[in-house]
Amino acid sequence: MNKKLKVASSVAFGAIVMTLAACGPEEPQPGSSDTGTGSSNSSVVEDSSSSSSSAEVKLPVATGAYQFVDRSYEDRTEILGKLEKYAVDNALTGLPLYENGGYQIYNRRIVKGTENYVKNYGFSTLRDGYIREGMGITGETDDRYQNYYHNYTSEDPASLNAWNTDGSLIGDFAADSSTSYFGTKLNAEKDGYEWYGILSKDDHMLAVENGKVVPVANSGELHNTWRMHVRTGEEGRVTYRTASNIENRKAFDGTYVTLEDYITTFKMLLNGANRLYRGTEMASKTGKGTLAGMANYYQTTASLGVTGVNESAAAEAAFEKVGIKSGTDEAGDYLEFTFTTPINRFFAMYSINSNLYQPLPKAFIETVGVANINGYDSTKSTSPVDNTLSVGPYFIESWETDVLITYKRNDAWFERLDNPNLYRMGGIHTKVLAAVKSDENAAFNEFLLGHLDACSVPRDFLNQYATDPRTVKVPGDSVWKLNINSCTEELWEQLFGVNGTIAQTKMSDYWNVKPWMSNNNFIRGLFYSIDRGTYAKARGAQPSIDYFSSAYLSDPENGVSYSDTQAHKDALTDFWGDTVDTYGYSTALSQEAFKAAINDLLDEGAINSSTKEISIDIWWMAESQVTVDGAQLGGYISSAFNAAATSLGLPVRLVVNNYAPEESMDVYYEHLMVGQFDLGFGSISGNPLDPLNFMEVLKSSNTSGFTLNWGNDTSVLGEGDSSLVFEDERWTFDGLWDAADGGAILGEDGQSLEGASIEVTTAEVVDSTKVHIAGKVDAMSFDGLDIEPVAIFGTTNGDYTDYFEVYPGVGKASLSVAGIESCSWNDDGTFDIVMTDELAANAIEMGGFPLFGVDYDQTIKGVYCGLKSAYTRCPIA
Amino acid sequence: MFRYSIQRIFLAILTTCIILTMTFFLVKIQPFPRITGNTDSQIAYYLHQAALGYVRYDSIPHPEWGELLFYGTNRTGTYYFYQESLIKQYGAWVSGIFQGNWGLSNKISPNVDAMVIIVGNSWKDSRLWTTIKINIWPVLISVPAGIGLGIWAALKKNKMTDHIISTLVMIFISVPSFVVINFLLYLFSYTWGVLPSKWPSMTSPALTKFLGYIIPTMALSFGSICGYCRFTRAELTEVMSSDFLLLARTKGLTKSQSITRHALKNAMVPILPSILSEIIGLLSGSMILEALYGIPGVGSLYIDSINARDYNVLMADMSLYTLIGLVSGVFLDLSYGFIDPRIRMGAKK
Repeated sequence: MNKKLKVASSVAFGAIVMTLAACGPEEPQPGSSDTGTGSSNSSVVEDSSSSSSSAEVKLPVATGAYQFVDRSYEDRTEILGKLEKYAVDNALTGLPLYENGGYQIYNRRIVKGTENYVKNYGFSTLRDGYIREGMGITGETDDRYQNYYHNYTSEDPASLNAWNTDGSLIGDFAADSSTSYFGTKLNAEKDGYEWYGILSKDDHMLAVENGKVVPVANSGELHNTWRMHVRTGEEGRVTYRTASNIENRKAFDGTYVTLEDYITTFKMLLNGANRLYRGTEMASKTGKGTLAGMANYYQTTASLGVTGVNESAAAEAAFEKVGIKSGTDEAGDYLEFTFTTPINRFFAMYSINSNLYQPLPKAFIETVGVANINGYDSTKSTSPVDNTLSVGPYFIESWETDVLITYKRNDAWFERLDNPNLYRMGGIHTKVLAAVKSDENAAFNEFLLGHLDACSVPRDFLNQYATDPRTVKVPGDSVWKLNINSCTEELWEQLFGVNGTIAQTKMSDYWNVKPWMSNNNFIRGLFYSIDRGTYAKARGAQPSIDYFSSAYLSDPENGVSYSDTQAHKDALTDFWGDTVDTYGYSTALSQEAFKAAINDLLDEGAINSSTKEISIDIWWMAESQVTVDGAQLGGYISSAFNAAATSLGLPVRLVVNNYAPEESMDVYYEHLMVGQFDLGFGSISGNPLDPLNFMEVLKSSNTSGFTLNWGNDTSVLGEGDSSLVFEDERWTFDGLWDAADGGAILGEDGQSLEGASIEVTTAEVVDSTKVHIAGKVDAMSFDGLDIEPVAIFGTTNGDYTDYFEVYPGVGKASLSVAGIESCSWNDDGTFDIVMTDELAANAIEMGGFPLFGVDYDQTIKGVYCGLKSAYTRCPIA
Repeated sequence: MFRYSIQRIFLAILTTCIILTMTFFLVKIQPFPRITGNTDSQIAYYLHQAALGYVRYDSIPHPEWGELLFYGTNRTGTYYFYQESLIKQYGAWVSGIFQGNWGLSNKISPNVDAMVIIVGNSWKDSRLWTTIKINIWPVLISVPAGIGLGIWAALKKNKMTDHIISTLVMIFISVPSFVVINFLLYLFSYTWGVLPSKWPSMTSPALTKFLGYIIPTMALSFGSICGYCRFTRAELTEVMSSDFLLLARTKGLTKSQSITRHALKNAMVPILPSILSEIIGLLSGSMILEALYGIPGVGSLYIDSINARDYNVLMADMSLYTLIGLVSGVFLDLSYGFIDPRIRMGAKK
C-alpha cells in the first residue's frame, strides 16, 4: 500500500486546494552572519558548534588516511551534522519548500493495522489490517474482488521483471508478488516497527569468522562475512505460487523452495550474458555493501555467452570467488555473504535484503526463458501471470493490459498459517487509471464513486475533505525543493560546456548564465523571501527548511529520526537563526540580502543604475505548476527583490519566468542534471536508513549521478565561517564524506587521492609480433594506510575475451587467451611484461590497450576499504 | 477502371512507403534520448540501446562513426557509444518488416514485438480490435442519426425545427471532443453514477461491459452526427431546389416520392465518401477518448509510444494508421464510380 501511496503522492504533488493565507508571522531576529552562504573574507575558521571564540584559530587540514566506517551511530550522526551544516551554509541543498506528505483518505470499510502512521513503515494495512465489508455492486461489479484491496496506478508496468528495469514502477509492482529475506512489522505497542526474518529463519544476520558463527558484542561491530539460515523444503513451509493455466508452469505451483533456488537467482542476475540491468548495476557496485567477486563473475559469464543460469565449469569456477555461498550447519540450511569491506550487522542485512533476490528454481527459468521471465514473451502468447513464480503473501492472478492487474492472497503463506489475523485481505485489485496523468482529480473521483479504497486528497478537494474522519495526514519521505544553479559562466562551461565534465552541450544550447545567480547575497535573499508556511499549507503539506525529511533515520536499528537530533538542529542554527520558527521566512533578512546583492552587482558591473529588469528562470515538473506554484513563488521572490531595489532608489526589477517540460521527469534529465536552469523544482530520495550515504548527491563531482545543485566546488576547502571542521581538523566536503562512507586518502589540500597509480613508461612492438610494456605502480604512503597491489590488468576489447592479469612476483599471470611470454612485478613497483601470440596480435591491431590498470586492496586503520582500481591509457607506439 | 484501380493501389503503396520513411527519419533525427547518472547506470542504459539496434559501441573511439553519445569505463570494460547510422537502422527496420519482425518494444511492453502489441496474440485481445469496436458503434449510430436529422432539417427548412437542429449542430460541432468526453464522464459517471467511469475489464459482468460502451459511443457520435446532419441538410436543400426535382413534381410525383426517388440519391453522392473519411477521422479522434477513458486501443498506444520514445511501437502504429488512411482513400476514390454512374475513373476523355 505504501508503494501505491508513493505513486499517488508523486503524481499528486500539486493536486491540493489553495487555503486562506495564514496571518503573517512576527518578524524574527536576524540570526545569521552578514555573508551567510559561500565563502567569507573572515579568517575565523573555528567550527561554530564548538565553544565560540572571536580569536583567529588556524586548524590543520585533514591530510592522510581516514575512515569512519566503524564509528558508532552517534559519531556518524555528528559527521552527518557537520556535512549538513556545510551544505546548508553553502546552499548545496537548494531551497527547501515542503515535505511530500499530504492527506490520505480511506474507504470506511478499511481497517488499518494501526491508526498511528509509523515513519518509514506506514499503517500496515495489508499485513495487519482487514476489510469490514464488500464494496457493493456500485463499487465493484465482480464478486470475486469484493474482499480485495482496491488501488490504482497511472501506468501499466507491462512487466514484473524488476531485474531488467532501471525505474521504480516495475519494482513496486513486483514487490507485491515477492518477498525478501527480512521485513518489518509493527511492534507490540503498534507505535513503531521492528525487523524480523521472512525467508530468513534468523531475525538478524550472524557474524562469521573463519567459517564459524561468532557472537556479536554490539551493533557497531564490523565483519566481512555474515550468515543467515533460510527457509527451505517442507520444514521451511515456503512454496511457489502461480496462477498460470499452462501445464509446465502449473507444475511449479505449491512446490517447496530449495536451498539451490536461492543461489540460482544470483547466478541469473549476475550472468553477464543476460545483460540484466540490475545485474550490470550490481556487478559494477563498489563501496559499502558490495559483495565480493561479482564483477569477475559477470565478466566471465559475459564472455562465455550462455544466457539463463550458466553452470558450466568455467562459470562455476568464477562463482566460487563470489561472496555468496550456501551450506548446511546444525541450525539448518544457510546463505553466507562476504562483503568487500567489513560491515555491521544491520547494513549487512540491509545490503542483501531485496525482493530481487527471492529464490527461483532453475527449471522454471529454463522453461520460461530469461528474456521472458516475469513479463510477456515476444508474441504475447504468455503473460506475466504465466511467466512469474511468486514467493510471498500474494501472487499475480490476472493481467489485463492497461485495464486491470490483480494479485491473489497466497493462503499457503507460512505467516498466515501461523497467524490467520495476518494478510486478511483477499487480494489486491489495481486499476490502471491513465486519466490521472492529465487530470489530478481523476483518482479522487474514482474514490468518491466507491471504486478505490484509498486515495490522496487533491488540492481542489482539500478544503472539504481535510477534516473528514476518513482522512489522515501522512508525513513525507522527501522534501521538495527549488534546486539552485549558481554557476559562474566559467564554471558552467567547465561542467556543461562542449567538453563539459558533467554533460556535453552544443554551443547553440548553452544556458544563459545570470551573474546574480552566483551572488551569495542574492541566493540568501531567495531563501528568506519565501513564505513556506503559507505556501505549504495551501497544498496540504508540511513546510520544511530541512534537507532531510523526518523519515531519515540516524539510528536505523532503533528508529531514531535524524531530524530529532541535536546535530541536525545545530546544522541549521547559523544560517536560519530565529527564522527556524517561521520556516525561514523573513522580509527583513531577505531585503537586507537583496540590497547587498544589488550593491555587489553594481560594483561588478553586472547591472547599472539604469538597468530596468533582470530575470531568473524556474523550471517545474508540470504545466499546472507554472500557473499556480510558479506564480505564487515568483511573487514572493520578485516582491522582496523589487522592494529592496526601490529602497535603494533603483529602477531594476526582478522578473521570474516559469517553465515546464512536456514530461515531468524531463525536468531532471533535461534541466536540473545538465545545468539548464536557474532554479528547478525537484527532489531526490535516498536510502532513509543511511542518510550519511545519501549526502553523496551533494558532491559537485556528481559521483552519485544525481547532483541537482551546482556552483560550489565541494572538493575544495571552505574558508572562514564556511569551513568544515571535524575533530579539530579542516575538511573538504568530499573528503569527510569519503572518509565516512568507505575510507579516504586526503592530500594537503583536503582532496581525495587514489591509493595507487600506474604509469606506463614503455609500450612498444618488438619483432612485429610481440608487445613489450614496462612501467611502475606507485602506492600512497600514510600512517594507518596499507595499500597492497593485487593485479595489473588489461584487455583490448569490451568482451574481455583477451583479458589478462599479472600478479606481483615473477612469471605470475593469468589470461583468457594465449600470450604472456614473460612478466615480472617487483617490490619497488616496477613491472615488465612481454606479450606474444593472440594477446599481442590483438593489442597491435587495436593500437594499444584501452583498458589497462591496477587493482589494489586498500586498508585504512585496520579496516579493509575494498578492492580499488586505478586506470591509465596504454597506446602502443 | 481496372487500370485506374491498379494505379491507385500502386500509388497508395508508394505513398505509404514515402510517409513511413519520412516519419522514420523525422523521428530518428531528434536528439538521442540520453540519460544522466553515474557511469555504471549510463553504460547499462547504452548497452540496452545497443541491443535494440539504436547504438553501436566499441572499446576505442571511432570519430568516423559520428557524434559520441557517451564514453566510460567500469569493471565490465571501456565503452565508446555512438548512435547507429540512420540508414543502417532504416535498413534493419525495413528488412525486419519483410521478415515479419517489427522490432521489440522498449518501454510500452518490453520484450514484445511491436506489431503483436497492436494486433495481439489473439484477435479478440488485440488493441486494434478494441479500437475498431469503439469506433464501429459511433459509425453505425451517427450515420443514420445524422442523415436522418439532416433530412428532417432540410424538409423543415427555415422552420422552428430546422433552427433548433441547426443551433444544436453548431454548438456540438464547436465543442472539442475532449470537452464532450469530460462532460459525459462528469454527468453520467461522477454525478449520476449510472455509467462506468472507465473502460470495464474483460472479466466484468456483461451489463457493465455493455454500459462501458455508452460514453465512448456518445462522445464519438456527437461530432459525427452534427457533421452528417449539416452536410445532408445542405446537400438536400440544394438538390431540392434544382430543376429536375421540380420537373419530377410537375410530372406528378408526390413530395416524398420525389425526395426519396431522386433528391436523396443525388444528395448522397458527396455524403457517402464523407462517411469513409469520417471513419478515418474517428480512428484518430479516439486517441483522446482512449487516453481519458482508459481504453487499451491503438490510439492511446500511439500517444504512449511517442511519450515513451518507443520507436518500434510508434512506427508499427504509424504504419497501421497510414495504411488505413491510404486504403480508405483508394476505396473512396473507387467508390465514386459506383455511386455515381456518370463518373468513370480513369476513363478517356
